[in-house]
Amino acid sequence: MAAATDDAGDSNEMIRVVSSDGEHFEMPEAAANLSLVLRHMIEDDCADAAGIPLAVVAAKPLAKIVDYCTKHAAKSSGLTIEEAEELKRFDAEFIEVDTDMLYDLLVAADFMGVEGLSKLAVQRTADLIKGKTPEQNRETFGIVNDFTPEEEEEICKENEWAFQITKPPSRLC
Amino acid sequence: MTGAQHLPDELIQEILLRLPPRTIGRCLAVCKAWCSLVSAPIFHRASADRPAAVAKVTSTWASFHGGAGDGDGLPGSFFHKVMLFDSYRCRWVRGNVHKTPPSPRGIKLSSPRNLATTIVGSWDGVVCIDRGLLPDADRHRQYVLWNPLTRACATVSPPPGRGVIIGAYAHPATMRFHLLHAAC
Repeated sequence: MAAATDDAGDSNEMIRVVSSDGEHFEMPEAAANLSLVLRHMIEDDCADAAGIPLAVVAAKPLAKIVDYCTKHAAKSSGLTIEEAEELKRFDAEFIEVDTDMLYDLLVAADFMGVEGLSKLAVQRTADLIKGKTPEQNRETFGIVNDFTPEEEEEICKENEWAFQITKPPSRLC
Repeated sequence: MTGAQHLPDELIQEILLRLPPRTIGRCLAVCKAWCSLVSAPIFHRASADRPAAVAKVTSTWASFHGGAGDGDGLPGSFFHKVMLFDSYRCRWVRGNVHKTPPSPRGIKLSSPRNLATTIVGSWDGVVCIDRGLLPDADRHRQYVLWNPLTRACATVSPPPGRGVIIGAYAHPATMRFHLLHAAC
């Protein structure tokens, strides 16, 4: 931060945000700028000492998001290969959360417009769905099966190819 | 926040779009909300936009099975056409999709001996199959349009006169699928 240039002159300023349940958080302006919503608020001079209220983001996910943004803002430009690798490792560990936190992060990152985190959470959710049966997916994601047994059977029958075990294509040759 | 059912539709769609076709097929059976999301035209369009379309026919085979006891002496009483899909070179494959070797899977079309089935091609995730009723296949011809990912299927008849299908596309604005038929 010592090498702050003119246009980044005030990037050391701390931005305050307030979660829906009233907890206060602070992050450098560069970190807040990773959120589209916060950036617009800062540009519109809405960032004051009282903090920017985030009505739909609770303290738990907000703390994670502040973490994510702070880490990524500190290493945003001129990454060496090692630093890029380290950031990747950080992301991989960061997103190792339970499904409840994952939903909170999905919704909050989407609402706050933190693109990198949004992608990370979406990919993580997709990875959890991949290769599972419908029943396993309902269990993982707490989804109620609202099909009648007949409807479900019909769908499975119509999409038999998706439910079959993969056979190696060499069988056809 | 208690479950994925509370996620906005756009987010669920974003997530489902990142899945391989087989998993997407299975997601149809999870719940009604997921089923309708995967079946929505916008979803077809988005999946067809992948670097390698989900349903791209890479090659076809025909094989004849010996007539099993039907006694009419024809060598090929059952006609099987196999089409191969390049279904895995999609955006979930890490690295360069254009350099990843194809990993096809096959689907067998069996047809009775009075029906000539040919795969015309695949465009925007939709496969077009030509079905002609023998012996005069040109006069009794139908085109079957099929999206293997979402099972959507439609049958259309060609305009009168001889002609061939020269191409097809899904209209980006209306999502309607258009077949280009040239008279010859």
